[in-house]
Amino acid sequence: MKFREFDIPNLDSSLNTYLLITASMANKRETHRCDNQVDTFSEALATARQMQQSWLTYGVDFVNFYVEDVDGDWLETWGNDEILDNSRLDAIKEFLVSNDSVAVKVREDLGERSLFDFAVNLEESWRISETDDRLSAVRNLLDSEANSVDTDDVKLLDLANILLVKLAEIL
Amino acid sequence: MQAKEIKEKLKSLIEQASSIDQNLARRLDEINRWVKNIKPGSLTAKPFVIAFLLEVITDSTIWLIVKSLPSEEEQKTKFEQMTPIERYWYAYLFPRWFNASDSKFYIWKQKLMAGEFNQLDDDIIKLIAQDIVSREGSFWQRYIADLSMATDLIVSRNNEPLCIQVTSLSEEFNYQKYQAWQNTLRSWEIERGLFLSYNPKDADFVNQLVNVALYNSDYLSGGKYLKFS
Repeated sequence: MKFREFDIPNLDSSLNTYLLITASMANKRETHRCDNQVDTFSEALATARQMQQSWLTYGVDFVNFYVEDVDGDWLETWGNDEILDNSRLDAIKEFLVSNDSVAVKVREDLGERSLFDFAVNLEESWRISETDDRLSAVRNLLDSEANSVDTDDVKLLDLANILLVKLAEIL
Repeated sequence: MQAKEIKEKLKSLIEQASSIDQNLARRLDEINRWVKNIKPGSLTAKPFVIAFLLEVITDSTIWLIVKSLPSEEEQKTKFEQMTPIERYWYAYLFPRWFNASDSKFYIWKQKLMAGEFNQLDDDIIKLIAQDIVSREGSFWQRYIADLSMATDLIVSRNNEPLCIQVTSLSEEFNYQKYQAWQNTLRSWEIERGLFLSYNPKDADFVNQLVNVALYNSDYLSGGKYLKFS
Protein backbone atom coordinates (compact mmCIF):
# COMPACT_ATOMS: atom_id res chain seq x y z
CA MET A 1 0.00 0.00 0.00
CA LYS A 2 1.25 3.45 -0.87
CA PHE A 3 0.51 6.62 1.08
CA ARG A 4 0.32 10.09 -0.18
CA GLU A 5 2.86 12.32 1.44
CA PHE A 6 1.57 14.97 3.75
CA ASP A 7 2.95 16.41 6.88
CA ILE A 8 0.88 15.15 9.76
CA PRO A 9 2.14 14.56 13.29
CA ASN A 10 1.84 11.01 14.60
CA LEU A 11 1.38 9.68 11.11
CA ASP A 12 3.82 6.86 11.78
CA SER A 13 2.17 5.63 14.93
CA SER A 14 -1.26 5.77 13.36
CA LEU A 15 0.04 4.01 10.29
CA ASN A 16 1.53 1.31 12.48
CA THR A 17 -1.73 0.90 14.32
CA TYR A 18 -3.60 0.54 11.08
CA LEU A 19 -1.09 -1.97 9.69
CA LEU A 20 -1.18 -3.95 12.92
CA ILE A 21 -4.94 -4.10 12.78
CA THR A 22 -4.85 -5.17 9.14
CA ALA A 23 -2.22 -7.81 9.92
CA SER A 24 -4.16 -9.11 12.87
CA MET A 25 -7.28 -9.32 10.70
CA ALA A 26 -5.37 -11.33 8.09
CA ASN A 27 -4.07 -13.57 10.85
CA LYS A 28 -7.57 -14.06 12.19
CA ARG A 29 -8.72 -15.07 8.75
CA GLU A 30 -6.11 -17.81 8.67
CA THR A 31 -6.80 -19.26 12.09
CA HIS A 32 -10.54 -19.01 12.46
CA ARG A 33 -11.92 -20.03 9.15
CA CYS A 34 -14.54 -22.18 10.83
CA ASP A 35 -16.05 -19.19 12.59
CA ASN A 36 -16.07 -17.03 9.54
CA GLN A 37 -19.20 -15.05 10.26
CA VAL A 38 -18.02 -13.84 13.64
CA ASP A 39 -14.68 -12.78 12.22
CA THR A 40 -16.05 -10.89 9.25
CA PHE A 41 -18.41 -9.01 11.56
CA SER A 42 -15.65 -8.06 14.01
CA GLU A 43 -13.38 -7.08 11.14
CA ALA A 44 -15.99 -4.93 9.48
CA LEU A 45 -16.86 -3.19 12.73
CA ALA A 46 -13.16 -2.71 13.50
CA THR A 47 -12.71 -1.13 10.07
CA ALA A 48 -15.62 1.25 10.67
CA ARG A 49 -14.15 2.26 14.03
CA GLN A 50 -10.67 2.61 12.59
CA MET A 51 -11.98 4.89 9.85
CA GLN A 52 -13.71 7.10 12.43
CA GLN A 53 -10.47 7.24 14.37
CA SER A 54 -8.45 8.16 11.28
CA TRP A 55 -11.01 10.83 10.37
CA LEU A 56 -10.77 12.20 13.94
CA THR A 57 -7.06 12.76 13.49
CA TYR A 58 -6.71 13.65 9.83
CA GLY A 59 -10.15 14.80 8.70
CA VAL A 60 -11.07 13.85 5.16
CA ASP A 61 -7.38 13.16 4.39
CA PHE A 62 -7.92 9.83 6.16
CA VAL A 63 -8.98 8.47 2.78
CA ASN A 64 -5.31 8.37 1.78
CA PHE A 65 -4.81 5.55 4.27
CA TYR A 66 -7.26 3.39 2.40
CA VAL A 67 -7.01 4.47 -1.20
CA GLU A 68 -3.75 5.10 -3.06
CA ASP A 69 -4.94 7.17 -5.98
CA VAL A 70 -7.57 9.52 -4.55
CA ASP A 71 -6.55 12.24 -6.99
CA GLY A 72 -6.39 9.88 -9.97
CA ASP A 73 -8.89 9.71 -12.80
CA TRP A 74 -11.19 7.10 -11.17
CA LEU A 75 -14.11 9.53 -11.06
CA GLU A 76 -13.80 10.50 -14.72
CA THR A 77 -13.63 6.85 -15.80
CA TRP A 78 -16.15 5.39 -13.31
CA GLY A 79 -18.71 4.28 -15.92
CA ASN A 80 -16.36 3.53 -18.79
CA ASP A 81 -16.65 -0.22 -18.58
CA GLU A 82 -20.41 -0.13 -18.79
CA ILE A 83 -22.43 0.17 -21.92
CA LEU A 84 -23.92 3.61 -21.79
CA ASP A 85 -27.42 2.95 -22.90
CA ASN A 86 -29.89 5.18 -21.24
CA SER A 87 -32.68 5.88 -23.63
CA ARG A 88 -34.76 7.50 -20.89
CA LEU A 89 -32.06 10.09 -20.27
CA ASP A 90 -31.83 10.68 -24.01
CA ALA A 91 -35.59 11.23 -24.21
CA ILE A 92 -35.46 13.67 -21.27
CA LYS A 93 -32.58 15.59 -22.83
CA GLU A 94 -34.38 15.77 -26.15
CA PHE A 95 -37.51 17.06 -24.44
CA LEU A 96 -35.66 19.68 -22.40
CA VAL A 97 -34.13 21.33 -25.45
CA SER A 98 -37.41 21.26 -27.39
CA ASN A 99 -39.85 24.11 -28.00
CA ASP A 100 -42.49 22.56 -25.77
CA SER A 101 -43.88 25.26 -23.46
CA VAL A 102 -43.04 23.24 -20.33
CA ALA A 103 -39.47 22.73 -21.52
CA VAL A 104 -39.18 26.46 -22.17
CA LYS A 105 -40.44 27.24 -18.66
CA VAL A 106 -37.96 24.80 -17.17
CA ARG A 107 -35.09 26.38 -19.09
CA GLU A 108 -36.19 29.82 -17.91
CA ASP A 109 -36.27 28.57 -14.34
CA LEU A 110 -32.84 26.99 -14.61
CA GLY A 111 -31.24 30.12 -16.01
CA GLU A 112 -27.49 29.67 -15.96
CA ARG A 113 -27.61 26.21 -14.42
CA SER A 114 -26.54 23.20 -16.44
CA LEU A 115 -29.32 21.61 -18.46
CA PHE A 116 -27.37 18.36 -18.70
CA ASP A 117 -27.00 18.08 -14.91
CA PHE A 118 -30.68 18.83 -14.54
CA ALA A 119 -31.54 16.09 -17.06
CA VAL A 120 -29.42 13.56 -15.17
CA ASN A 121 -31.00 14.51 -11.86
CA LEU A 122 -34.47 14.47 -13.35
CA GLU A 123 -33.89 10.98 -14.69
CA GLU A 124 -32.81 9.94 -11.18
CA SER A 125 -35.91 11.49 -9.64
CA TRP A 126 -38.11 9.71 -12.15
CA ARG A 127 -37.03 6.42 -10.55
CA ILE A 128 -38.61 7.41 -7.21
CA SER A 129 -41.75 5.34 -6.93
CA GLU A 130 -43.64 7.32 -4.28
CA THR A 131 -45.52 10.11 -6.10
CA ASP A 132 -45.20 12.79 -3.41
CA ASP A 133 -41.51 12.09 -2.92
CA ARG A 134 -40.94 12.26 -6.65
CA LEU A 135 -42.77 15.58 -6.87
CA SER A 136 -40.82 17.00 -3.96
CA ALA A 137 -37.53 15.81 -5.48
CA VAL A 138 -38.33 17.51 -8.79
CA ARG A 139 -39.50 20.66 -7.03
CA ASN A 140 -36.16 20.74 -5.20
CA LEU A 141 -34.31 20.27 -8.47
CA LEU A 142 -36.02 23.29 -9.94
CA ASP A 143 -35.27 25.38 -6.88
CA SER A 144 -32.15 27.41 -7.52
CA GLU A 145 -31.05 27.18 -3.92
CA ALA A 146 -31.32 24.06 -1.86
CA ASN A 147 -33.66 24.58 1.07
CA SER A 148 -34.39 28.05 -0.12
CA VAL A 149 -37.55 29.56 1.21
CA ASP A 150 -37.52 32.81 -0.70
CA THR A 151 -38.64 31.21 -3.91
CA ASP A 152 -42.28 31.02 -4.81
CA ASP A 153 -43.10 27.58 -3.54
CA VAL A 154 -46.44 27.26 -5.29
CA LYS A 155 -44.96 28.28 -8.63
CA LEU A 156 -42.17 25.72 -8.32
CA LEU A 157 -44.55 22.98 -7.28
CA ASP A 158 -46.79 23.77 -10.26
CA LEU A 159 -43.87 23.62 -12.63
CA ALA A 160 -42.67 20.34 -11.08
CA ASN A 161 -46.17 18.99 -11.47
CA ILE A 162 -46.64 19.86 -15.13
CA LEU A 163 -43.13 18.64 -15.87
CA LEU A 164 -43.93 15.26 -14.35
CA VAL A 165 -47.18 15.06 -16.29
CA LYS A 166 -45.24 15.80 -19.46
CA LEU A 167 -42.62 13.18 -18.66
CA ALA A 168 -45.34 10.60 -18.06
CA GLU A 169 -46.50 11.28 -21.61
CA ILE A 170 -43.12 10.94 -23.30
CA LEU A 171 -41.44 8.20 -21.24
CA MET B 1 -6.40 -0.26 -2.55
CA GLN B 2 -6.91 1.44 -5.87
CA ALA B 3 -9.90 3.75 -6.24
CA LYS B 4 -11.32 1.59 -9.02
CA GLU B 5 -11.53 -1.32 -6.55
CA ILE B 6 -14.14 0.72 -4.68
CA LYS B 7 -16.40 0.38 -7.66
CA GLU B 8 -15.84 -3.37 -7.79
CA LYS B 9 -16.61 -3.58 -4.08
CA LEU B 10 -19.76 -1.55 -4.56
CA LYS B 11 -20.93 -3.80 -7.36
CA SER B 12 -20.29 -6.93 -5.34
CA LEU B 13 -22.28 -5.43 -2.46
CA ILE B 14 -25.16 -4.65 -4.82
CA GLU B 15 -25.17 -8.28 -5.86
CA GLN B 16 -25.03 -9.51 -2.26
CA ALA B 17 -27.73 -7.09 -1.16
CA SER B 18 -30.09 -8.10 -3.95
CA SER B 19 -30.69 -11.42 -2.22
CA ILE B 20 -30.77 -10.02 1.34
CA ASP B 21 -32.23 -6.53 1.21
CA GLN B 22 -33.69 -5.16 -2.02
CA ASN B 23 -33.89 -1.61 -0.73
CA LEU B 24 -30.21 -1.52 0.14
CA ALA B 25 -29.38 -2.98 -3.30
CA ARG B 26 -31.47 -0.26 -4.92
CA ARG B 27 -29.80 2.52 -2.94
CA LEU B 28 -26.30 1.21 -3.73
CA ASP B 29 -27.20 0.98 -7.38
CA GLU B 30 -28.44 4.55 -7.23
CA ILE B 31 -25.08 5.60 -5.77
CA ASN B 32 -23.20 3.75 -8.51
CA ARG B 33 -25.19 5.56 -11.18
CA TRP B 34 -24.83 8.83 -9.34
CA VAL B 35 -21.03 8.58 -9.29
CA LYS B 36 -21.07 7.64 -12.97
CA ASN B 37 -22.96 10.77 -13.85
CA ILE B 38 -21.10 13.32 -11.79
CA LYS B 39 -18.56 15.52 -13.37
CA PRO B 40 -15.84 16.56 -10.96
CA GLY B 41 -16.11 20.20 -10.08
CA SER B 42 -13.33 21.30 -7.81
CA LEU B 43 -10.15 19.39 -7.10
CA THR B 44 -11.08 19.09 -3.45
CA ALA B 45 -14.21 17.09 -4.22
CA LYS B 46 -12.59 13.71 -4.84
CA PRO B 47 -11.49 12.97 -1.26
CA PHE B 48 -15.04 13.68 -0.04
CA VAL B 49 -16.59 11.41 -2.66
CA ILE B 50 -14.11 8.66 -1.71
CA ALA B 51 -14.82 9.20 2.00
CA PHE B 52 -18.53 8.90 1.33
CA LEU B 53 -18.07 5.75 -0.74
CA LEU B 54 -15.82 4.14 1.87
CA GLU B 55 -18.44 4.90 4.48
CA VAL B 56 -21.30 3.45 2.43
CA ILE B 57 -19.28 0.32 1.67
CA THR B 58 -18.28 -0.19 5.30
CA ASP B 59 -21.79 0.36 6.61
CA SER B 60 -23.44 -1.82 3.98
CA THR B 61 -20.93 -4.59 4.65
CA ILE B 62 -21.77 -4.55 8.35
CA TRP B 63 -25.50 -4.46 7.70
CA LEU B 64 -25.33 -7.37 5.25
CA ILE B 65 -23.23 -9.51 7.60
CA VAL B 66 -25.77 -8.99 10.39
CA LYS B 67 -28.80 -9.47 8.17
CA SER B 68 -27.44 -12.65 6.59
CA LEU B 69 -27.48 -14.35 9.98
CA PRO B 70 -30.30 -16.91 10.05
CA SER B 71 -32.09 -16.03 13.28
CA GLU B 72 -33.34 -12.78 14.81
CA GLU B 73 -31.59 -13.80 18.00
CA GLU B 74 -28.20 -14.01 16.29
CA GLN B 75 -28.75 -10.67 14.63
CA LYS B 76 -29.69 -9.14 17.95
CA THR B 77 -26.52 -10.48 19.52
CA LYS B 78 -24.44 -8.72 16.85
CA PHE B 79 -26.17 -5.40 17.51
CA GLU B 80 -25.54 -5.88 21.21
CA GLN B 81 -21.82 -6.12 20.53
CA MET B 82 -21.89 -2.57 19.25
CA THR B 83 -21.58 0.59 21.34
CA PRO B 84 -24.92 2.41 21.89
CA ILE B 85 -24.05 5.01 19.29
CA GLU B 86 -23.06 2.38 16.71
CA ARG B 87 -26.22 0.46 17.47
CA TYR B 88 -28.28 3.62 16.94
CA TRP B 89 -26.65 4.02 13.56
CA TYR B 90 -26.66 0.45 12.29
CA ALA B 91 -29.92 -0.78 13.75
CA TYR B 92 -31.93 2.42 13.34
CA LEU B 93 -30.75 5.34 11.21
CA PHE B 94 -28.78 3.57 8.47
CA PRO B 95 -31.62 1.18 7.53
CA ARG B 96 -34.09 4.06 7.73
CA TRP B 97 -31.95 5.89 5.21
CA PHE B 98 -31.86 3.19 2.57
CA ASN B 99 -35.46 2.17 3.14
CA ALA B 100 -36.72 5.70 2.63
CA SER B 101 -36.91 7.44 -0.65
CA ASP B 102 -34.43 10.20 0.06
CA SER B 103 -35.68 13.26 -1.77
CA LYS B 104 -32.52 15.11 -0.75
CA PHE B 105 -30.35 12.70 -2.69
CA TYR B 106 -29.87 15.16 -5.54
CA ILE B 107 -28.52 17.81 -3.15
CA TRP B 108 -25.67 15.46 -2.36
CA LYS B 109 -24.06 16.00 -5.69
CA GLN B 110 -24.08 19.73 -5.21
CA LYS B 111 -22.79 19.51 -1.68
CA LEU B 112 -20.14 16.90 -2.29
CA MET B 113 -18.92 18.47 -5.49
CA ALA B 114 -19.12 22.14 -4.58
CA GLY B 115 -17.71 24.31 -1.88
CA GLU B 116 -20.66 23.81 0.44
CA PHE B 117 -19.02 20.73 1.76
CA ASN B 118 -15.75 22.33 2.56
CA GLN B 119 -12.63 21.63 4.52
CA LEU B 120 -13.45 24.33 7.07
CA ASP B 121 -16.71 22.68 8.14
CA ASP B 122 -14.98 19.33 8.25
CA ASP B 123 -12.21 20.80 10.44
CA ILE B 124 -14.63 22.37 12.92
CA ILE B 125 -16.69 19.19 13.21
CA LYS B 126 -13.44 17.29 13.72
CA LEU B 127 -12.31 19.65 16.51
CA ILE B 128 -15.66 19.23 18.25
CA ALA B 129 -15.43 15.44 17.93
CA GLN B 130 -11.88 15.46 19.35
CA ASP B 131 -13.00 17.48 22.34
CA ILE B 132 -15.97 15.17 22.90
CA VAL B 133 -13.68 12.14 22.96
CA SER B 134 -11.25 13.85 25.35
CA ARG B 135 -14.18 14.34 27.76
CA GLU B 136 -15.20 10.71 27.69
CA GLY B 137 -18.01 11.16 25.25
CA SER B 138 -18.32 9.26 22.02
CA PHE B 139 -19.31 10.40 18.57
CA TRP B 140 -20.32 9.02 15.18
CA GLN B 141 -19.68 11.01 12.05
CA ARG B 142 -21.46 10.02 8.87
CA TYR B 143 -21.70 11.84 5.55
CA ILE B 144 -25.10 10.21 5.09
CA ALA B 145 -26.30 11.78 8.34
CA ASP B 146 -24.88 15.12 7.32
CA LEU B 147 -26.31 15.16 3.80
CA SER B 148 -29.70 13.59 4.45
CA MET B 149 -30.44 14.01 8.12
CA ALA B 150 -29.09 17.49 8.92
CA THR B 151 -26.79 15.90 11.46
CA ASP B 152 -23.09 16.77 11.64
CA LEU B 153 -22.36 14.47 14.55
CA ILE B 154 -24.15 11.95 16.69
CA VAL B 155 -22.99 12.36 20.26
CA SER B 156 -23.38 10.20 23.32
CA ARG B 157 -21.99 9.99 26.84
CA ASN B 158 -24.26 8.74 29.58
CA ASN B 159 -27.52 8.64 27.70
CA GLU B 160 -29.10 7.84 24.36
CA PRO B 161 -27.39 9.27 21.25
CA LEU B 162 -28.11 12.91 20.38
CA CYS B 163 -28.01 14.31 16.84
CA ILE B 164 -26.31 17.67 16.54
CA GLN B 165 -26.15 20.22 13.76
CA VAL B 166 -23.50 22.95 13.96
CA THR B 167 -23.82 26.26 12.15
CA SER B 168 -21.89 29.52 12.23
CA LEU B 169 -23.39 32.65 13.79
CA SER B 170 -23.97 34.38 10.45
CA GLU B 171 -26.54 31.72 9.68
CA GLU B 172 -28.09 31.86 13.10
CA PHE B 173 -30.69 34.37 12.02
CA ASN B 174 -31.78 32.11 9.29
CA TYR B 175 -34.89 30.96 11.10
CA GLN B 176 -35.89 28.93 8.07
CA LYS B 177 -32.73 26.90 8.35
CA TYR B 178 -33.67 26.03 11.91
CA GLN B 179 -37.19 25.13 10.83
CA ALA B 180 -35.86 23.00 7.96
CA TRP B 181 -33.54 21.25 10.42
CA GLN B 182 -36.43 20.43 12.73
CA ASN B 183 -38.55 19.13 9.87
CA THR B 184 -35.73 16.97 8.62
CA LEU B 185 -35.15 15.42 12.04
CA ARG B 186 -38.84 14.82 12.47
CA SER B 187 -39.12 13.16 9.07
CA TRP B 188 -36.41 10.66 10.03
CA GLU B 189 -38.03 10.15 13.42
CA ILE B 190 -34.88 11.21 15.20
CA GLU B 191 -35.70 11.35 18.90
CA ARG B 192 -33.41 14.07 20.19
CA GLY B 193 -31.66 16.89 18.36
CA LEU B 194 -29.53 19.93 19.10
CA PHE B 195 -29.03 22.91 16.76
CA LEU B 196 -25.85 24.75 17.71
CA SER B 197 -24.77 28.16 16.47
CA TYR B 198 -21.29 29.46 17.08
CA ASN B 199 -19.33 32.62 16.56
CA PRO B 200 -16.10 31.78 14.74
CA LYS B 201 -14.50 34.91 16.25
CA ASP B 202 -14.92 33.55 19.73
CA ALA B 203 -11.66 31.75 20.55
CA ASP B 204 -13.38 29.40 22.96
CA PHE B 205 -16.29 28.35 20.76
CA VAL B 206 -15.35 24.68 20.40
CA ASN B 207 -15.15 24.27 24.16
CA GLN B 208 -18.52 25.99 24.60
CA LEU B 209 -20.20 23.93 21.91
CA VAL B 210 -18.92 20.71 23.43
CA ASN B 211 -20.14 21.77 26.89
CA VAL B 212 -23.62 22.28 25.53
CA ALA B 213 -23.54 19.15 23.38
CA LEU B 214 -22.43 16.86 26.19
CA TYR B 215 -24.76 18.39 28.75
CA ASN B 216 -27.74 17.93 26.45
CA SER B 217 -26.62 14.51 25.39
CA ASP B 218 -26.85 13.57 29.07
CA TYR B 219 -30.03 15.44 30.00
CA LEU B 220 -32.18 16.40 27.02
CA SER B 221 -35.37 14.42 27.21
CA GLY B 222 -36.73 12.29 24.38
CA GLY B 223 -38.85 13.84 21.66
CA LYS B 224 -37.10 17.22 22.10
CA TYR B 225 -35.28 19.43 19.63
CA LEU B 226 -33.29 22.28 21.07
CA LYS B 227 -31.69 25.35 19.57
CA PHE B 228 -28.68 26.91 21.24
CA SER B 229 -26.70 29.96 20.26
